[in-house]
Amino acid sequence: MAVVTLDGIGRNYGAGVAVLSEISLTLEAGEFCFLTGAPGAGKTTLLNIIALAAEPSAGRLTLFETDIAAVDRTARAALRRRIGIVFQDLRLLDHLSARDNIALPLHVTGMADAEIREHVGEVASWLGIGGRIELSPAALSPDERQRVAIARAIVSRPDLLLADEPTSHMDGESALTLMRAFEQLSRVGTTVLIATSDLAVTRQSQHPRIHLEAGRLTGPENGHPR
Amino acid sequence: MNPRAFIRTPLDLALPRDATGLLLISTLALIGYLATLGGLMLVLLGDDLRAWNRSLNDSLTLQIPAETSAARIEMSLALLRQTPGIAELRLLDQAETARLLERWLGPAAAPDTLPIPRLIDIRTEPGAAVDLPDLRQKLAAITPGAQLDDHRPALAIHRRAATRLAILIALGIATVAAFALVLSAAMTKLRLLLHRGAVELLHLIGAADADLAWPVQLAALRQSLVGGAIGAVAALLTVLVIGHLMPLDATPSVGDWRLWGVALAVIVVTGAGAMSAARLAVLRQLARMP
Repeated sequence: MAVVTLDGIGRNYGAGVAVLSEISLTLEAGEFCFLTGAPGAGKTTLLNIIALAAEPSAGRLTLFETDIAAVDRTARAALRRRIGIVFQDLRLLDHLSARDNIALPLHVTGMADAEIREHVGEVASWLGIGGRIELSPAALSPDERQRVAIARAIVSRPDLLLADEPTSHMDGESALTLMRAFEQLSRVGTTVLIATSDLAVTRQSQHPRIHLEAGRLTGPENGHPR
Repeated sequence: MNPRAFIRTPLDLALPRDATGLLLISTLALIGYLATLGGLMLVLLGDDLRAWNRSLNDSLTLQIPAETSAARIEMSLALLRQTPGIAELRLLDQAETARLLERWLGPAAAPDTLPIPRLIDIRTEPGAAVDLPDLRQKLAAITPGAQLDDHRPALAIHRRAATRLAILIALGIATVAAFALVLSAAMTKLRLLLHRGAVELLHLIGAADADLAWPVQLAALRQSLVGGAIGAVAALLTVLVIGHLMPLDATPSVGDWRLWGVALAVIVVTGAGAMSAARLAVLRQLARMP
């Protein structure tokens, strides 16, 4: 099943300045793919469009075989609940504990408190922050904050995981551990798209890379995405 | 539904408390105070009007000069008893008349020091059309100088004035109610602006507009109920204290359920109005997000 289909997607800012042009791409269920490119190439904008955080100026976006242009706001919200996002700026809420931050997507789905505690505990332990989740994000190290943001993105077992520079605050070893965690998710069916400019991460991986240059795709390396 | 979920929801936790809550509570307390005062004034004004109606609408007063003989007074009474439309008569004794005059003349209004006229309190049958010019003519023939007072023209003037006052009070209540709605919507917008990051995050992780609006409107409901209750109770106490210090014919009392009804109505209307305004404001703001 095609999880993401971009067909001629474009995005303009201001007086017609094109950030993205003619992006066409398909990601299948369980696929793992890197999105690379220099800063300003349009990686974050493309992720925002796929995450339904921004509207494309041109083209057609299909998520989970649903044409986004044809659905109402309630259906869009339901689609968003199938997507996990790791934001580049993390977007953690400092007035909540790390546990409550991680639990937010589960609260949005209306899950029972006991079940939420169980899921949050599991994910936090898996990412190595099990003993730190009662603290406020402000009290955590950058690496731990990043892990909390990742835990929040994956706690609801999303069908699609979008991560924008998820290893930017991590050392090499932590970054590799995290990539292995993402690969495990991919193996159980989650489609993973990681925007990164960390060449150390992409070089050690055999997963396909799609490259953005001045808002245009310059083709996949390592195969797959069309 | 879990009652706790009505008080605070998990998404409510994502939007931290801030100064807008206190601002909304204190301003709605002032608005609730003014609205309740207005409502209570309408109730008391209605009481006064009804009391005036009861005492004056079907009554006439015959004033007979002090020097009139008892026989002429008796003849006047007999004439009145025979007049169609007159239901009841009462000749006030001189001590009672003096007590009435004492309000204006002080204790000097004693029957033995002043020529106090004799008063006859006349009750007409409700709606009866007594021929007053004819009656005045006949009374003057029996007791020269007798004066028949009809209170209805004065009552009509009072009634018009009271109606105007009631309309003004109602307009005042409507104005503060409209202000409460605008204020609640403005505070909601301000709150969303202050916590824009959290709102956007919840939106992006899949919270539906209605789910996001729910904690915001619940917060507005809680704050407006608290503010409205403070204002309503304060207004109620004000009216009761003033009524106690300056007693009138229609003095408000703690046992009057209508006063509590007005206070309760103000609290409920404030809560419902603020919640609806907050909901509309948050849905409009969310509609701007993709």
